[in-house]
Amino acid sequence: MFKYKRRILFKKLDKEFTNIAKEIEELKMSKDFLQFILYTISELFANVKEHSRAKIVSVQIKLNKDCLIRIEDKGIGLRKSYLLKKIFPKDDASAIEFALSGLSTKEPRERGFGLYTIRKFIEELQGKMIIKTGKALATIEKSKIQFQSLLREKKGVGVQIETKIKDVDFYKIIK
Amino acid sequence: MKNFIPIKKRFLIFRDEAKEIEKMSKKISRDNVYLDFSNVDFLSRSFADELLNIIKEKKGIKIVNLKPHLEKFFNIVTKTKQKTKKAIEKW
Repeated sequence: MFKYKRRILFKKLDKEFTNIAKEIEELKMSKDFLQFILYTISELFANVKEHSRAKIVSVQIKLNKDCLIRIEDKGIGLRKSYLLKKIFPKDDASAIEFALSGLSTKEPRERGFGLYTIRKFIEELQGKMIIKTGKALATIEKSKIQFQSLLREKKGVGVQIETKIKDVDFYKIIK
Repeated sequence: MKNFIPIKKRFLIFRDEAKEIEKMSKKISRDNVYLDFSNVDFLSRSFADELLNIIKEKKGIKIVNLKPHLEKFFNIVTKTKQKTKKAIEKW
């Protein structure tokens, strides 16, 4: 059983990742599932650090029979982050779709694989992924994506994943 | 060993960390630099991608003592980078 809920200063993400990873390593779970958890947290932290311009990040992790990871920032949001890179999603829902597509720039660099791969894991694990940004909320469940409009605008980006803890072939999915 | 940089962190996540390694390697030598990854247990995709970009640009950087699961991870990221590059060129 592991419970973690904290607001972390942007500058301390690196140190806090190490603390979280060391504690999670102590839990009894398959190596591949451990890799999946560390991969998910690291990619979401990297997204916050590289794109959000947020100063504080809220992190919640619960691991028992189920796995819950929720990472939220109050930065500039997905759409504005794309606009600054001269990519023009028409609205917040399109920005989420773009982030999940695995493409984010025209540079020959492997950017944009973070949310795309997390989605693949969630589909394989038959879990649920929720992304909130601006006026859009996307729920990914059973290989389907559903969008809802938020009445109250979400500042920044929030990502939540929920899944049962079970075996997964980590290296097959990240290919 | 000369030009040997021991990477002390167990977890490498951010692109910045790869850029720090690049700075260290530039300070040490203009020729071959060996990055000792024996202490490293986890790499994020972002870090791996950035380090591969750096290695491609500065040919003399070599990774040594990489754990097998990280070698597998680097190989996957390398292949995906090649695929992405081809897809972008076609586009």
